[in-house]
Amino acid sequence: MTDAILSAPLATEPTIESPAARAWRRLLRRKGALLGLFVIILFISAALLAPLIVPYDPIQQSWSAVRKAPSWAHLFGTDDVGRDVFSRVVYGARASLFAGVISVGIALSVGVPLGLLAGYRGGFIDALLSRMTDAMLACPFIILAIALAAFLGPSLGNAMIAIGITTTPIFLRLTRGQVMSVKVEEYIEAARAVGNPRWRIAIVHILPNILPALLVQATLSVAAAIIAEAALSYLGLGQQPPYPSWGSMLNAAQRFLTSAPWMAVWPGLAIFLSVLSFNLVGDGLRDALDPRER
Amino acid sequence: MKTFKIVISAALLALAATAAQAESVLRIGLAEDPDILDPTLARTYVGRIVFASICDKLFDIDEHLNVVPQLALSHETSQDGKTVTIKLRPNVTFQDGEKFDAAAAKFSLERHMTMTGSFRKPELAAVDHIDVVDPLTIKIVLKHPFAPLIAQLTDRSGMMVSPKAAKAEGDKFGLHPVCAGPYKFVERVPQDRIVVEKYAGYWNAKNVFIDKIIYLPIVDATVRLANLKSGGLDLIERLLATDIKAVRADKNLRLATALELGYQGMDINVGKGEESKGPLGQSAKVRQALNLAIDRKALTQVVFNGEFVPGNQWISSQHPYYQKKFPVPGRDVTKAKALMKEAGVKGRVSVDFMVPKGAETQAVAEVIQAMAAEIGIDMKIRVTEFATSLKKAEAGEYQAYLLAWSGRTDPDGNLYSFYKCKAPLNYAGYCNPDVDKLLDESRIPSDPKARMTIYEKIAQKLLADHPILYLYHRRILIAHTAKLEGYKQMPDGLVRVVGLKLK
Repeated sequence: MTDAILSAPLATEPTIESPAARAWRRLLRRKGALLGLFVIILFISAALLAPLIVPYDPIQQSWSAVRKAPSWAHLFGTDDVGRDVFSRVVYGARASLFAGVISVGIALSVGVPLGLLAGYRGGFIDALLSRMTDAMLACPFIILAIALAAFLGPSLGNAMIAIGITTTPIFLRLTRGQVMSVKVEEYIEAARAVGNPRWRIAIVHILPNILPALLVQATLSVAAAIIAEAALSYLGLGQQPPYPSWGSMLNAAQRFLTSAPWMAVWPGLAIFLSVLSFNLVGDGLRDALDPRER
Repeated sequence: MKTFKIVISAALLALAATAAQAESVLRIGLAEDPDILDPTLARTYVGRIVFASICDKLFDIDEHLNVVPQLALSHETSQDGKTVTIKLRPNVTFQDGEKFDAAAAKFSLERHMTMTGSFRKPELAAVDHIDVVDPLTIKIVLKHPFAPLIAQLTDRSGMMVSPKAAKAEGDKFGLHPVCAGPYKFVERVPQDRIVVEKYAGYWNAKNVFIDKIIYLPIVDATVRLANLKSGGLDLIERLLATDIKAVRADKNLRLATALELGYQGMDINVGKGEESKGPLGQSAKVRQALNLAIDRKALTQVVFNGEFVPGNQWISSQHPYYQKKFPVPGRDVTKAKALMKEAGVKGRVSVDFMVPKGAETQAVAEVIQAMAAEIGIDMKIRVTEFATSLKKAEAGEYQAYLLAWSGRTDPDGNLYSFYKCKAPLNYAGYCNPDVDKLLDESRIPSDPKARMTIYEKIAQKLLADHPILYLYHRRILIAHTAKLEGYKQMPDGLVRVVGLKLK
């Protein structure tokens, strides 16, 4: 008898969902986002397992098989110095996805702490950081990235730093805005009332509450960063030869658009698919994390 | 009413068609917009293509690089090699109607030699002064014998400008150039077009058949070719080697080619600052090994469909001054590895390889990288914008540098300034007193055989030391519509317009 009484509330417990589980469930309902997620996972696993997948060394040249059309021996054809395009696209995923993730990582690690500082402290620090953000956002993103990459010198690492720095103001501004709307909430006041130090309030109480917005922005920024890396590599400021990246493959393909179009099609398609997927997932996440939506 | 309108417009169309037929226009697609159109101040290769229609020179060259008369009729060098007498063509006028005579020739040459900002100064540095002997004869007096002089007069240094116009315009002359060529300058819209029209008073006017030429700069080679195919252009310069097949397959197009005077090579920093201290810069044996590691035939085959010609000297194997004793080496990896061992190299050698930006140069660099890797040399490619790369090369901030030279008619122009100690184009930082002495000697004799002997000695030293590795010689590639008749390509790459007809 007592057992039955005790088990009653237990039975209702599974219906109380954690916010994360709810978001996940909602995300899975969206076909677009699901497809995007699938493609991203596919690309990431291809990048990670590249040595196991590719039939040829991506930098091995074969001077007897230059600009050969797609065939069974070379699924995506060969490029201008006889390298297998499929192998290069797969290895190129490493450069592109890595660049996307690392540069957004840089932007997060600089932008979020500064945004917390600006939003929570306010005053002179806020004014200073906000004006700097305005100044950086006034300059077109890609122009700034090109200028920085040219200044730092051409290499994939420097391209990531350049993209990371130019993405930072977006995160700084977003974090600041979110912090300002959250810091007047009652639970923050309560936390302050019991004597928590400022840094603890910022990190333990504010940050988790603004995380969803950051997550959405980060996903969308990865897509932008992949495009930026491709643009920089296309201009010769990113990945250095002979190592492949989708952007530099497009650059080499430009001369052969009419005579060997497959050199441009595959890396172009890879950029298109990865950027589209990150955008779909980002959109899906935004809807899934929106508490107003059921 | 409606029919009336149609009749009117049909009549207008017919009128327009006859008007278009009456005036023949040749549209030429250039790879860049030229710099100033003043023969004294101009620097670019593309500018020389435009000069070919507006400014005649004292002498010209033929397909075999022989000097032929143009505004001059003959030249004669004195026994001691210190005076050159030039007879001028009679009855020649500039495009403003002024007479071309000895005084005008003296004026033009002196303008090249003395004008502020003149790029002709080094070309005519050996000239002391010019005397007018009679109205159609000048005497050029030299400071010391200088065999390449006549060759200089087949290029911009030999271009004659109207003294009246040049005096009136000063340094603005390049905005409205007045010379003695077959076409006179009409207008120029920067980055868009340069228009010239037939000059009726030209000395060889009976061989000029096209009324107007329009030069249009179009930077992208693929776009230039597309315009030629669609009929928007009649002739394009600098076709991509990989597009040759497409041009040959098109029955409406024709290809004109000639082997260039210049070369594509790789400068090695052997004596400029800290960067020259590596094994490649310090050891001739390592450079010889790299030379043997490169398969020039495969390189030109892969990147240029085999259309360009492998080379190992500053001039191509078809040039009269080519040293046949030193043929293009084949690839020999075993010997190259043995040389690396002899040089005492342990482990792999890393080389900072500066490569000017450009899809073709990058492909060349990547093939070389793969070839060098096999003998233990890791070429680290650093793609650099062209103008920046020149500055870095001057400062010695590189270990290997992929550099092309457009070439000069006289071999001296491909050689002297690149190897003479501290000369302006000596990016390698090469300094060898023996070579310096030979280089100075090579400029003296006007007898080709005597020069040949000196060049042989120079080749022997340079092809052992290898401060520059020569890779291949490009082909000048001009594509034009099949309607254009009489086009002949000279090795200097210029588009000569006298004798051309449009069907």
